[in-house]
Amino acid sequence: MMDRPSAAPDRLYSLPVYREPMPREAARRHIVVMQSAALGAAFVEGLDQPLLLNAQGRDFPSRLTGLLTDATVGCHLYILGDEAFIWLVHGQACRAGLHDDEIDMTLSVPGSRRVYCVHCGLTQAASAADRFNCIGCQVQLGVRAHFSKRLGAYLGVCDDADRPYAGAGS
Amino acid sequence: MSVQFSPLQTYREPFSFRNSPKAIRRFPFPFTEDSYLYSVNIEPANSKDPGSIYEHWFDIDEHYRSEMAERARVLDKDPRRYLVLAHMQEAAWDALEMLMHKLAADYPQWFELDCDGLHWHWRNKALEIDQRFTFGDATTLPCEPLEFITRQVQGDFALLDQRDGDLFMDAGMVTSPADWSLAFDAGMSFKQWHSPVPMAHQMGIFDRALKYLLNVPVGQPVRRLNWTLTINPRLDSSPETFHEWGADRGSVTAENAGRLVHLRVELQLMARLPRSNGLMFSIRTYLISLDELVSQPGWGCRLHRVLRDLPEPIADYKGMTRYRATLVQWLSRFDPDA
Amino acid sequence: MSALLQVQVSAARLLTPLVREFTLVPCAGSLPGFSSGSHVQVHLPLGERTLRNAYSLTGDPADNRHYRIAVRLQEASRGGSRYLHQQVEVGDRLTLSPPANLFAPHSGAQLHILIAGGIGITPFMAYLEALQRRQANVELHYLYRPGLTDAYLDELQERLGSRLHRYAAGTPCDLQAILRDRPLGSHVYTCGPQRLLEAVRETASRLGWPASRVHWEAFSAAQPGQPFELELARSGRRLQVSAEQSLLEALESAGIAPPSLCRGGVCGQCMTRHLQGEIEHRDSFLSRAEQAEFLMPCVSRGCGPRVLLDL
Repeated sequence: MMDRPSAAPDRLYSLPVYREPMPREAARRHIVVMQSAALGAAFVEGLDQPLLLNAQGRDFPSRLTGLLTDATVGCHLYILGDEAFIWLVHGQACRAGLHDDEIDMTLSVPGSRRVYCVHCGLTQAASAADRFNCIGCQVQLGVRAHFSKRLGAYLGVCDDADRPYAGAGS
Repeated sequence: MSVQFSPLQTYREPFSFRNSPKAIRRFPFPFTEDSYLYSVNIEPANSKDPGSIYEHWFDIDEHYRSEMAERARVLDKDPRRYLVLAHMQEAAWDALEMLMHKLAADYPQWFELDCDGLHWHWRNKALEIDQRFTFGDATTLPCEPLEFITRQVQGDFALLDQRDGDLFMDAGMVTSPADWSLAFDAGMSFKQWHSPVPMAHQMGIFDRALKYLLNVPVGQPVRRLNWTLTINPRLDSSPETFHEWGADRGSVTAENAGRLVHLRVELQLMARLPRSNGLMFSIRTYLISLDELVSQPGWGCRLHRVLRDLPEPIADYKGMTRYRATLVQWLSRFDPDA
Repeated sequence: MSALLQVQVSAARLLTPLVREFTLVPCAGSLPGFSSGSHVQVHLPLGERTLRNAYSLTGDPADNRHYRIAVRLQEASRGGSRYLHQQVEVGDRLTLSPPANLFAPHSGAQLHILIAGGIGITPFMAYLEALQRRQANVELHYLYRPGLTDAYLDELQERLGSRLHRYAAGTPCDLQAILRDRPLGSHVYTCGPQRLLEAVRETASRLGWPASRVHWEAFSAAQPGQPFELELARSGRRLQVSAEQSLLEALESAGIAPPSLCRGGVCGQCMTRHLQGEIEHRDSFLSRAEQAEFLMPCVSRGCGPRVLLDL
């Protein structure tokens, strides 16, 4: 544990890898889930008979569930959106049986992510700010460069143990 | 060899934990050189030095009752320290089987196990537990198998699932971590959960270690030592409670360093779980205050040199930045060359 | 690898004229537990040399009172399977290397599709015990020659019912139909002759299955070649490798062998650096670039007069 963020090594293995969307030639079916209709339009045009799902459309949660239930091995999933959206969809896809190597993620909208407060266990929405107060327990968290795919969140730990609740109530 | 237990001591305020002279002599001082460098220091876990911490796979010492009481306290406050992902129940039973057989064989004055097919009878005389149960049926135990047995063994445990040419931390009981969170790291692969460790990745340490561990056979565990420093004999130095103890690092002075600063050594044992093909990671923690440590010839001098010359990223990662200078100064009197 | 196991044959029975099943009990103490998909190396004393053949453990992993293996008599054999069929009797003792597992079921699978060819059924016998205990979804496709390589067929029919798909020789097995449109979370495992493995892998790939969902175990073993001289650079020792002997076996008989696991050139465990001499690479582990520097002594050999190894 660091009293301050440590000198980062060249590659931080837990951090998520995002990429520009590129068709996976080996896949038989392409499924594209986007946070809004505008994202990835050019990419989608280059795909052969993709299944498309737009989070702004009606009944997105149940349509996503239905799509994953009907999907078969040989499909590849592309998720486009902000970090919080990506990992919510990623989690659901993994529970439906997809592996990491069958999922590509494009960070189309930087800025919104999720942070796990290690003190009270709450996973919460957060901005790109390095520091904020946990909405569950008020401890001022520093966001670490350590990410859990299972939780879809970065690790948040008390930033200054001498003043754990600095910034609370503001 | 018969182990005698100390009266109950605490690993939190008022920190009554002390080592007996025997425990001090037995302490695994980890430094074989005057400087410390990462290496893949994994070796076969062969039994050696009767009476030492290396004699048995799972070491029970004088602190057993205190440590088990501390585990119960941590779990009462925070059940998130125990976690078993759904597919790991088979591995959990593997772990229970291994621990019960080993404890009964190595410490027969405290533990007894009788197996009649799937009907098992377990007795832990140190904690006054007498349990009959059906192996494989969790409804016949007061709680899940991994929780049941790890509440009776010193040290933290992580159970790793072996798949995709990698190891995944998919279950564990972690109430005495040196600054890592099972609740957060659960589900991560070997290199992912080691992400925060500075410098070691570029050295290829984890690539080589992973290859070694993937091939650990049944019945032939391996082991290594890990070390850090802790202020006060606080076993539960977890990120979960960091906001409660982190400030202690600012309280070290020349006057109290010997009492407050503890060397914390982990004996890690990695054993193949036979039926699930998983890997058990046992993390057995030993604590010693500096005052106790320097009573052993040569240890104060060597520790002085190691801490004085430790690369800054490693010192930062091990959390000693705030008091390192005070500590090195305090240790210098044990170094004839200082 | 250390800690060899001494076992005694407590039972032996012919499942078919080509397949003989052995039940092995420990000579002393108890046998190490094992996971489904594990194999053991059986040490076979054939006159002057000792062969080590790998056989899957077919029994229930929850029962380690004994190990069970089923051995197919190989026509073009170096004598190992013939020895087991014709020389070994109940009461005889054998030496085993402890179990190792290169072919374990995947914990994330929501459906396990097993495709077995002939003697390739053996690891799946253990799989079924473990997977059924976990209440996992399983289906088995069994390709066999009736009366010859259909070991355990009746038992499987009774246990699996409609989840068993039978393909007696002559009945076409449509791999495309088996692997098409399978639910997310499916994994496919195959074991048997090389051409079956290749067909499954190729079909899976064409249907878009990622490699992480396709698992295979080959029952490959060393094949004979021409004799050559072996020199060891560090000790200066020289050995003769006969036509019938693998490079690894020659090293083992001289007491200086690297550890091994699969004996068939697929796992990478025995990888050794070669320094001089023409090598015939027969493994499925190293890349071309790696083969310029390393070889797998369990299957690969020299094809010139002499080989110099970094041992």
